[in-house]
Amino acid sequence: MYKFLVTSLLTFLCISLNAQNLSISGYVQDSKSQERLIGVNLYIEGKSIGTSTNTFGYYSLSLPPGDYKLIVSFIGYHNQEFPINISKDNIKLDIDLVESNTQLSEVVVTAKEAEVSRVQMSEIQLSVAEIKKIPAFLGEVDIIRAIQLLPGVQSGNEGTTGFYVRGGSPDQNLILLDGVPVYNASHLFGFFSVFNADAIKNVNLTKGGFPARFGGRLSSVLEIDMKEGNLKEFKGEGSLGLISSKLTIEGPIWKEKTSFILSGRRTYYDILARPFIPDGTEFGYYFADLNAKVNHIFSRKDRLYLSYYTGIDDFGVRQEYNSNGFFSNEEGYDESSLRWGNHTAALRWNHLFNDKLFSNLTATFSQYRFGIGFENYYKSGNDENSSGFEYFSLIRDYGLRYDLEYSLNNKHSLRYGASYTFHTFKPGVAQIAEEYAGVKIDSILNLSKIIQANDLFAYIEDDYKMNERWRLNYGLHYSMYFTDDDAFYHSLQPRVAARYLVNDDWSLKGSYALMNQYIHLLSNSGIGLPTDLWVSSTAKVKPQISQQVALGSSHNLGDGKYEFSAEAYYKIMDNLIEYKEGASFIGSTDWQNTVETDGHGEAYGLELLVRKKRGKTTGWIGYTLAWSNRQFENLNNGAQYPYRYDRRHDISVVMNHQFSKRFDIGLTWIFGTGNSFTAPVAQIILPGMGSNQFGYSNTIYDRYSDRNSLKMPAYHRLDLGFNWHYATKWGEASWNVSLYNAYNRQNPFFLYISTDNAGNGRVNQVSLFPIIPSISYQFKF
Amino acid sequence: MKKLIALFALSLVLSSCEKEIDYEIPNPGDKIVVSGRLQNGLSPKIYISTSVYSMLGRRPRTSNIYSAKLFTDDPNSPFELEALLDTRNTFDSVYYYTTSNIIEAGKNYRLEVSAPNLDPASAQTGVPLAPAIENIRFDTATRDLRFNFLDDGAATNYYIVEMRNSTYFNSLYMSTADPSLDFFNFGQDPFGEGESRTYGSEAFLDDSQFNGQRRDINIRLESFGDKDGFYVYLRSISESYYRFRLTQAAGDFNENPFSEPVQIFSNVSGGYGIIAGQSSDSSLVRF
Repeated sequence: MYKFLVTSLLTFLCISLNAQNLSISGYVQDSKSQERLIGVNLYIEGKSIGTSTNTFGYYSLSLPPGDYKLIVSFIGYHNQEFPINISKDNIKLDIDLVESNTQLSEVVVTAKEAEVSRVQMSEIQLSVAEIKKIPAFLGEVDIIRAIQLLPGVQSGNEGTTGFYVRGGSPDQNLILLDGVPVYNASHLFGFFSVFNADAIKNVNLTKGGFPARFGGRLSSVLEIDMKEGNLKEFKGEGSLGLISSKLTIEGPIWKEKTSFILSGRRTYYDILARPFIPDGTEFGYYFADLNAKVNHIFSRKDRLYLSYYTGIDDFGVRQEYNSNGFFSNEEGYDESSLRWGNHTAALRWNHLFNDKLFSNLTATFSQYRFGIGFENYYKSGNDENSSGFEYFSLIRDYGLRYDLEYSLNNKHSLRYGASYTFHTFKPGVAQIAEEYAGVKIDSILNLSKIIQANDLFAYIEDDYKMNERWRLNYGLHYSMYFTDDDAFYHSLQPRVAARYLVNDDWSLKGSYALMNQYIHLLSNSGIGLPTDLWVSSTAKVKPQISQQVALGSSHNLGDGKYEFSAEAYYKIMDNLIEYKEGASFIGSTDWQNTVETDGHGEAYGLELLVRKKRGKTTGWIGYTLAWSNRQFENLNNGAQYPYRYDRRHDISVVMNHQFSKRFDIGLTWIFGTGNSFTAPVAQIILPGMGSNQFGYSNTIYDRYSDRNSLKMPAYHRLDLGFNWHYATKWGEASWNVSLYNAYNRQNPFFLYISTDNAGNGRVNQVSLFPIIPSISYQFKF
Repeated sequence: MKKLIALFALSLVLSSCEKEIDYEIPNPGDKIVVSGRLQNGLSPKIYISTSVYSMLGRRPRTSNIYSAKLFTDDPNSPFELEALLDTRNTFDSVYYYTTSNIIEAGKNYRLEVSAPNLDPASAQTGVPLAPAIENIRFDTATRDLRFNFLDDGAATNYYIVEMRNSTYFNSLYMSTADPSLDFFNFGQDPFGEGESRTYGSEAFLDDSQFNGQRRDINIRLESFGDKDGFYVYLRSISESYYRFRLTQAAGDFNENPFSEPVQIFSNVSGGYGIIAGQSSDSSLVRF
């Protein structure tokens, strides 16, 4: 199989080298800010030749000599057309797109390089402008919440920002911020994501049919690109909300050569709660994050980007006591803290070797650290002692990646590259300090072995336009992984996606991808607590593997106003891990002793999406019919069981209607089958089996239903957002009023069984969020 | 940790609300529940009861309504089990089922139970060969106990090590630095004189690392028992009993309110519970 694929790949690469092709290439950017635009469609009118700009706004089209009309289109911008006469030399054409003030005047185009004609399936791009129109929770626009509204993507528990793609678990999503993996994308226990929408330019989610350039995760790749900063003038924007505020400033350091962007956000829940906290107690929580980016254009051929993100969640409780009595005189305090956060940094160098060969070299750093600490101090008379305990886990990466894009001719467009990442895993480290009667003890314990791992891959992929109707994207991804505890794994992963264009408005697509994942997330909560541990594959715990096939159909309807897509997928996953029953993140032994290994997963379903991108009313309706199961030898008696978020039906309606330039309304409605859960169905006694070999036990034990065999009541919710925009002397401002859960549905967060006076059981439902109105003020200058 | 998360959750869910809902928890129907150890050299002692639907306010009870038979390799089997009242329990009428026949190591047993209006239930287990404690030494200064035993290479074996007071037979606390010796109800001493020791009252291990070989055990007596000495027990247990104890301990010590509940392992088909096989050797250690 592999030999065939390699031979086929090399054969295709050698095809058509004799054909003399010329190229049109350049950058596409915003006319005002010079911000480079990602995913802009460029196509030749009357030909099935087209492309889109890459992550750095670059495009390259190979054409035989002749006269053409190049059409450029991008949501939120006016379309542009360029007559092209290409005869002897390559053409360099940098394009400035002009933002359309309102969608009312938007020209409807038949975007050939849109969803229908692209070979890539299972991929959805969202602009931040679209995301900002979605009603916000507590006034905070959230990128991950927007992602959760797409078909094939499911949210976890109420309010949380974990996401589950096509039956996969959250660790199977590769979240890249400017190409750097982000290991924990949650603030406030998952109620907000770490991504500040004001600093973000573009969001792209790939759920399947992964091109060869992607690797390391089984279920999805979420690419989030930060803005680069305005190269022409200083600009700012910000918002004041009920629980947080943020401010972003950007501008040129050296006009049209160097720019920067700086964006910060902080909650003030800790400050607002202070008046309600009793004396002697300190109780506070906040999260904050900072995005910064600088980019410099050396020449048209060379550009450098440096981006940095840091975020922190900090929760602490301190209780002081002081009792001055006749017999005793005691004082002291108890203090507890939870703190977690990410740091990411990327240095990227774009280099254009020639009009057909674009390269990007990226050096990355990423770290996620979670810590929990306890400290107490006690003094009574002359006796004084203190003790402290801190437990932390950490994952840290240093990486280097080189990607090249080569437009070989009008049939083949190649991408190839390699990556190396050095991981350090510290799944459990405890630091203990104690002082008693002047004697100090201070020690550090590695509860689990620190593992260092080398993660390498190389890939090559070809976007091959076979003829007017058929187009292929095929490639190979080869990865190696070895650790300092003698684990060694490698994998050759074939990827292929095909498109058949039935007519200008209808295409059929199919894809296959084999994926490997060398890191695992150990979670026993299922609710995305920061205590979830990132761990490495080891000699004992093998890498996760998945295979996914997908078939789909894309349609343009109503002269391109609407896009309709349907996709069916089937995915199998192997070597999954799960905590053993009752095990948790703090234990006496290595984490490897607390997990079940060699788990098997299966997910399949159908996704439908109707999307309207233009006009007064925009938005989408998505529907997912899905199944997701797991199987472990030692869980559920070895029988297959539904995954916790096995959700049969999932519907999302996202709409925005622009009444005028000054007023628009956003609406989302979601419906989902209830989450799976396990409940006690019977009570038993085991009198002869107490832990005391000779005694009698009268303990009552619960017998549970099969794992996750019950479903909570369905979840549904309507959110509304009202936006008023107006011009000011210094810029623009807007007020946003949002209603979360507008019809006050009491959705289940969890269920539990209580007993009434007669001792009979009653099922109780705890709901988290009732109707929550919020208001925020946004400004731009 | 639990307290901290609870505090945090409390601060987040001030606006949360709770209500009773109409939700039908599926009723699996009443089933026979059996529990008991088949210990070499002793008569069987098996408790039999009926499960109760979780939404009913009734406590499950043992009774003498069941018919129980114990099948074995013995040509005289099955042995009809007799219901007797457990006189140790003064608060409730507790029945157990027994026979005068003695359980033998190395044999397989099958229990069949029936009762009016209930589906019959059955369970089977092997009783492992008894291990032999050898070369036992106790250092009264350090309170370290060492002994070894020879594993049976023909089967997968699971062992429990336990110490008991020589007068009252109550379980004694011990510790070990042996990383492959684990405890059902572990505790950890982070200081541990430079080594990480685990603490508990029942240590267990399987023979995956020493199948058919001699295994040294090094444990430290942490409790102060009576002045004369203490008993050391080495038990070879059936796999189903080992799995039962693991899940039982995981359920007893699970502190995470969000984790999956722990289903206690059962080897009873048609019902619930556990029939465990075990063989023991013991040694009295005098101070």
